[in-house]
Amino acid sequence: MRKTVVLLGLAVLLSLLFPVRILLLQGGVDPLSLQLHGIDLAALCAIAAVIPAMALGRHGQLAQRVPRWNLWLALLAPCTLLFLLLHVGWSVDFAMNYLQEALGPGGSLPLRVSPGALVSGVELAARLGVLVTMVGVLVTLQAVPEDEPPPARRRRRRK
Amino acid sequence: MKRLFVGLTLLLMAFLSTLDQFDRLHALAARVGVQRWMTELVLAALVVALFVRASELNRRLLFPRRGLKLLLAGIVVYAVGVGVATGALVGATGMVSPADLGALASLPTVAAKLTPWPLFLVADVLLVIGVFRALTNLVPPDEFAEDF
Repeated sequence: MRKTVVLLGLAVLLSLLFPVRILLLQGGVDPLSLQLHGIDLAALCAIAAVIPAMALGRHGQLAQRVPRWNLWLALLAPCTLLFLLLHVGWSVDFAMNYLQEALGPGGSLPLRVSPGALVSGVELAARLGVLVTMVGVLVTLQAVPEDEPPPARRRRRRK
Repeated sequence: MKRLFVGLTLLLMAFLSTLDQFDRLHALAARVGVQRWMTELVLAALVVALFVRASELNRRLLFPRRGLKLLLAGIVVYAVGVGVATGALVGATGMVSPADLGALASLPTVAAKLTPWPLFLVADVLLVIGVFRALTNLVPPDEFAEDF
């Protein structure tokens, strides 16, 4: 469970460090047109970043070094989940419908904010949360990394 | 430590550039003549300085240092990307006559053909791996607390 959380968190963080949307716009591609079964570009990038995250996690021996319980780890899970859910069509629709009812006249949330602005704010909080908590996890790894194996030497040809 | 600081700042700038929520703030700052990258640079440098101080990063980095070569490569590629984006690289190569360049006579034409975004992308990849290697090579917090 911990390993999965760290892996997903790292994948989301990696996807947030590359300005893919700007790159697509530079290349003349509309980022909004890139959707797969209601999953938007940000979530697709996070899914695509799972493989590099696995490679980095293996390289950094994260599976052996992540502490059993950690505040950063406990916060990383909800932030990652929230970020991913806010980039999937059905969950965003569900949240928007709920917020329209809750923020409307006679609703349960006494806030003067539009549902879109609130969702955008929560998404920003999730992004910042992933950044801060993932860095927190990396900085509080338990054991010292084991030495890397020396590079393989080429055998000399006998003359 | 300087390379790690610069690498973290550049990566945080890349992160901040993806935030649409700050577009209004940037638009307001642009009216005063402050460009987007300036705000991002100042904000990123401040946050990284606070992070380095709070986590005592400079005292926790283990020997042998890891990721520093990658960080240096990433910073150099990023600088070349900035040079291409601002036109400084083409200007600099144009100032030298082709005869003086010798074997590098084709450099001005190559510099004119370069586009900045692939360079920024390569720099980002190098910086991410370099920063990851550096941040996963620290003294564990428990051992650090015992020693200091």
